Amino acid sequence: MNHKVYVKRVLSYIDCTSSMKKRLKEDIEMSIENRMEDLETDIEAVMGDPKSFAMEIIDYHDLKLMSGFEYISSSTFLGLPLVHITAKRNGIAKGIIAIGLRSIGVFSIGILSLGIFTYGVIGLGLCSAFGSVAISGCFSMGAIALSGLFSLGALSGGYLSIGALSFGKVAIGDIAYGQLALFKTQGYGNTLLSIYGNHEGIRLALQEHLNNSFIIDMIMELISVM
Amino acid sequence: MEINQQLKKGVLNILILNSIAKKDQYGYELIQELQELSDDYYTLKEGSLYPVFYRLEDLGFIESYKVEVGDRKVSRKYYKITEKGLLELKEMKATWCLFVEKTQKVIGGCHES
Repeated sequence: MNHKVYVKRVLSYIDCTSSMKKRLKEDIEMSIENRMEDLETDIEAVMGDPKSFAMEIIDYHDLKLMSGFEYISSSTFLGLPLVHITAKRNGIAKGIIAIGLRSIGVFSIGILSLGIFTYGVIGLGLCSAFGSVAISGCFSMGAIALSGLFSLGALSGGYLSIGALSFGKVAIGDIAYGQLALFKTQGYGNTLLSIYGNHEGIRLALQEHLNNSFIIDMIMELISVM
Repeated sequence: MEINQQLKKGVLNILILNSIAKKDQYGYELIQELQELSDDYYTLKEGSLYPVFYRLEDLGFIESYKVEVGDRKVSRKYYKITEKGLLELKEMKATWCLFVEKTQKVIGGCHES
């Protein structure tokens, strides 16, 4: 177990204010640094197990033991726990795989999730996001989906967006707003084409805006069933 | 056991202030000193000290500063007592002496059954 995981585990047992946690974190880290002769030493052999350490703080100072399930894996990658799952009140899961009410991680799942690949009621992802509100750099899917590249949702926005109400460079939807708008009911933008119109014309227009025949084929398939 | 724990908790403030009044100290050093001076009666862990330090610091009785030590240049947080802390310690000691005197008078010494 590395220092960071140890400190995380200790703090996960203590129900106290965030400012108190911040102070404790700094002091526990400093104590570990001072007490550990080298990084190879078993941290629990020197500092005791995380729960006992936390109970010492709790017992002496009338704090409360934090209730709720929490799991922090001993294995780490880039200094982060490989897996962090928390159901604790005010708990924030932080790890490569992070699962919690609030989560931050490479793969992040939570009510509010931040990370690279996220899944949550509100998901903010660098690469992809899924959720009621999904915002990402590459791929978003959700009731409200916003993305730098591709988005799919009731309300969607992105370079290529598909949705009931969509906007983007290429927007496809019931109501579409874009440089190329393929619409069912109403379109706004520079090139407006009804999806019920000539499919060859739509294909040509797509080829002007998208440089990927696979994606164009997929869109044509989609349009044919809309 | 419970009363032992409660008594120890109650005197932590005065013990810590008293130790820091003698010289600036960091947490682990203070624990070792208390253990040694009390013939192993006070065997505290660092976790039990942090919130006491915070409370005393917030009240302005002590101040902290960091020093880098050793080859690894690890940071160590030292505490020093303030003027306000010295006054508080004087008051605490007076209260403590009165407490011990009156309690002894009531319970009638330490070695009676």
